[in-house]
Amino acid sequence: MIPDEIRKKNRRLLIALIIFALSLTALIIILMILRGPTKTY
Amino acid sequence: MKAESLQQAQTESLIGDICTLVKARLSFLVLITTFVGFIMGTTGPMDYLLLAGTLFGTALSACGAAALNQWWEREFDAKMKRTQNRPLPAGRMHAQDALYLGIFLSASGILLLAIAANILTAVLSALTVGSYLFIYTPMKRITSLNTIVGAIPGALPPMIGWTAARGGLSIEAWLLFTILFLWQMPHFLAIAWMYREDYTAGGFRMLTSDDETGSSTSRQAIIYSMALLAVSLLPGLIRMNSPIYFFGAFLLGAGFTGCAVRFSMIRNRNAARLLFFASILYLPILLALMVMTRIP
Repeated sequence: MIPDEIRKKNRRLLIALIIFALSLTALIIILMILRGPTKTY
Repeated sequence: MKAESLQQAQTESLIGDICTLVKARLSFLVLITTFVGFIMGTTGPMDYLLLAGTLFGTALSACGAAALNQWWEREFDAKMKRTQNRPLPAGRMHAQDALYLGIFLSASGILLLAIAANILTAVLSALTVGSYLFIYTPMKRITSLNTIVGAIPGALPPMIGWTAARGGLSIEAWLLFTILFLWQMPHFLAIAWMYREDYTAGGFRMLTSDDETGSSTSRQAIIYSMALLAVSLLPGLIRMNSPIYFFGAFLLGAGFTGCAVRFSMIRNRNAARLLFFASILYLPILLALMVMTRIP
């Protein structure tokens, strides 16, 4: 029997993963906006 | 001391569960092929920010697709030895958590690719996630042709890298797609034959399901590895890569085909395992050779 505690810990880790993904996505987009268009193709 | 080590073991297993849910090793391979596509598609100086956006967007959508795939297949995974210890069938994670994570990661990955790279790249990523989830996953229990269909999303990542760098598709991008497509066939045929009983127990219809002797599987592995050998030489012929690549790709392809031939002659688990390991060695070496010998 798997204790509910494990599932709760896993949920917290998933939320941390989402926050990390959001932060890095935002950082990349902000850096691209600050840099401006550079595409040459 | 005991409590500390117990807590550490629990933390490691939690991180392990997340890595399993997002199929970390497979997603990493997707990133490598995307990276190769990006490098091959780059003309002029490298745009590192675009590269970072492309790789992170692809990583998000690959991890999201893996989580959604496991959410979808949790009941079937519980029936197979190979997969029954995954976090969802084992009950270590709420199914809805995996579903929400999968949707969030896939959607944000595709969106990031649209913003950081271009719409075509985002469309290719959406096609990869969509064909993996809505065509390949349900097809696994309907027809043994699923391996061929499943090889399409597996071959799209280098095209994603290429279009992010180049802005459009060309013959070279299709070549990368074809190489990845053909490579997957002997790779998955070897796995499917080794675990054929497990797949049958899980209700999956594989090309290897009714092939106890391995004769049909090994014949197909030879055909695909020979086709791969031929196609893998083309970048050297169309001036995409230098002649060194041509000879290197020939040697690698000959070795890989040799393993498929050996499998057809011996037809036991060890020969299938050798073909599987040969496929794992073949791809990174070929891709590294391709990057090192590219003609910009």
